[in-house]
Amino acid sequence: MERTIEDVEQDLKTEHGLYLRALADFDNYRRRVDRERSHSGREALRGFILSLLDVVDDLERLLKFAEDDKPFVKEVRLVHRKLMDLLEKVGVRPFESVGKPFDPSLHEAVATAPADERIQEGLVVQEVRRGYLWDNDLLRTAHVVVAV
Amino acid sequence: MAKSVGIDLGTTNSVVAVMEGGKPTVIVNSEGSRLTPSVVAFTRTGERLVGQLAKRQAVLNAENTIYSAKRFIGRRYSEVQEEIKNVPFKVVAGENDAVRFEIMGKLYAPEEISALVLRKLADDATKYLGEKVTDAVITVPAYFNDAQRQATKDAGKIAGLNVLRIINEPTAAALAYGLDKKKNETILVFDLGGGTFDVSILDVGDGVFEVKSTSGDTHLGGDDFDKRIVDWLAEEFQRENGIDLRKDRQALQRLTEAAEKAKIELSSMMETHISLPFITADATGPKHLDKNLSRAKFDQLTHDLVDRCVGPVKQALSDAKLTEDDIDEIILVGGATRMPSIQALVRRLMKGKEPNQSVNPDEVVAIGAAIQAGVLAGEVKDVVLLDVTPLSLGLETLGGVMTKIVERNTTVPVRRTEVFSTADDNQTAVDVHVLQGERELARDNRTIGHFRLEGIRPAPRGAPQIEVTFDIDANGILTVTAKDRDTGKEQKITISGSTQLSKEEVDRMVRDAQTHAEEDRRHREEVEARNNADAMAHQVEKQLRELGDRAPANEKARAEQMINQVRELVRTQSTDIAQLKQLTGDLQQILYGLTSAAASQPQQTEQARQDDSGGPDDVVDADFKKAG
Repeated sequence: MERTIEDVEQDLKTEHGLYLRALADFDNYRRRVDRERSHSGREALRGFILSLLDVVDDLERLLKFAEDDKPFVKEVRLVHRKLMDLLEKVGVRPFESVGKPFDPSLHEAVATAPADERIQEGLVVQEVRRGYLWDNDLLRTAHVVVAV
Repeated sequence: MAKSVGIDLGTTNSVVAVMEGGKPTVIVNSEGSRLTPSVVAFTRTGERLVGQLAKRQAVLNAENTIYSAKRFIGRRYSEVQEEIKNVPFKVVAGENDAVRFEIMGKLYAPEEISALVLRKLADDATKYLGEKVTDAVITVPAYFNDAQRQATKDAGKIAGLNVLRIINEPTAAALAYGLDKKKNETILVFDLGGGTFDVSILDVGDGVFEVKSTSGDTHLGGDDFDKRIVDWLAEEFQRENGIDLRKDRQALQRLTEAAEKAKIELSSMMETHISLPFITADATGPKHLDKNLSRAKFDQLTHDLVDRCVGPVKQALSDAKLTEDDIDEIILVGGATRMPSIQALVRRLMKGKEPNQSVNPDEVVAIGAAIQAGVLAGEVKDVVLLDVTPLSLGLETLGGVMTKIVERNTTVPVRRTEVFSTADDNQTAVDVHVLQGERELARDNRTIGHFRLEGIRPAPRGAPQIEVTFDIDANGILTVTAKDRDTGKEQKITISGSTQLSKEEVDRMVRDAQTHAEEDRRHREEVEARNNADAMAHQVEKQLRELGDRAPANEKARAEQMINQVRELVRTQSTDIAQLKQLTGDLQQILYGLTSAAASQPQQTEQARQDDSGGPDDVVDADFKKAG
């Protein structure tokens, strides 16, 4: 049986409709995935961990002022330890900066200090904010004072 | 195949985007960020750092860290005297009054600095895409003159890029919103970035954009708003503790970060808490900063900055010989336009017209540039443009509520099916009332079609399964089909143009839904409470009927009294949710009692449904409203 042009055109139209549907499905799928990704997963955790590190900073500032013979100081240290263990379990850990050469891939310079015989030029003198790695990737830069 | 990208080369930050599968995507740089600071540094060890890394070492190396190169590109040395005062690096005159940066004894043109930024963006894009990036569309402010445009193009060449085109930033923003497809429209682009403010008025027709006027303030941006918070915090702290935190570099750093965070939070919240413990210390011990900042206070601190946006808008309108009534579309660009005070200002200046802001304002220019790059590279031509449904589609269900089948912004073509049932015993027909809109109640939405499916075999309510399918084809034609699974009988209606609403109409309907969200939610709860109570009364009644004389007389009397009470409340459309819920709960208790009383009876046929979500597994949501 011979197919008329109309038949072929009809088929083409049907196929094209299916193709458009597939494309639309994919588009909707992508939108959903985008939405899900922004609400969950590692990126969301990153934001949360960064906020948590702010609190860890405050705790460490407190401990810097605290004297060990004062009440609760030991307990606060325990709480701090617990928090750090928790972070370590998800792969978050601080890195050392003081005494190391300034490295812009890890450090953010916030101030300078004069170099002396102890600390030579270009080395980190002081850490104002600790830097953290997450599974060996930079999570948060260290804010540092650099000898010049 | 080599890819072409769109680059928004900004004064403070730059963004690169690419067309992927017909959609623009912003590229994440090698540091994991979508924004790359437009900063270049030359270190003492002879390294060149670009972007975030350059910014991190700026404090150590201020004289060799170049930022804001855009303020200098393509300009004469004699023109940039004011700009020179604001930067810590050395700007000198080159040949023919050209601007040069002197870095460690060597002269660099602004083009060379911008080229380094462009090169990094292209390299990061290459890494991200896994294929070489060779071609680019780069954006410039609408007010850039020929020399500035040429210099930007040269920067691209120095970076090894084939610059397909230099386009205006407001034009790119308009492209990102697809406004090139408009017939004849006038567009106002309001661009408040980190450090610059630009207003542009464009005309679009037949895909061609024409800049009618530009205005702005080269030194006004989001950073000024941050600074107001810093100053306020520092002054309050000084008043209370006598210490000026701005003199302490480390404290200032913490203040600045906290201020930016607070500003961002105040875009979505009415009040934010700023807590900086151990911000400093004196002889008496450590000091803490702890403040609440309300949006009202923030607006008060920054109202003069907001006011500074008014003049340029009025200027741009008068230069274009237009009034606010002539503006068809408004586009917001730049992160600072997320601030509610700025959005309110724009609405006020534009007589309440809603600005376009669905595309991320930090990225909208790069996205538009990527679209332009795609068009020029021939990638976009064959892409099928898929429409979305501008409003939700659904049908009216028991109690006059709208049950959505296709949510708004779903890409078409699409097909969605849900199963419904009847609301009354022995109901033989259902009315299908097709609705469009975002409101909870049917009566507040638009009726776009009506039909009736008849011939349903008499059955207890909730038993028949009516399959309702919404099918929207690529042309926006909606077909609604209702099919009785039992008899196979079906009825359908075709509605064309369900996606063709004017933008104003869609905006209004969406806005209405937002304004009435609370009230609608309560109405819906009332309807649900009535439906639940009614269904429970029905269950108990049925159980009583089945038990007949075996039902304990006192229970029966109490139940009947409550059933009557429910019927009365439903008849009078009672809004007393608490009472309805109480009655539903009490009736449920009675039903449990009756069911266990009947447990010994083998003729027990149906397990009690406990609420409206019961019934057969695949019956969803709600019952049809009673037919006829």
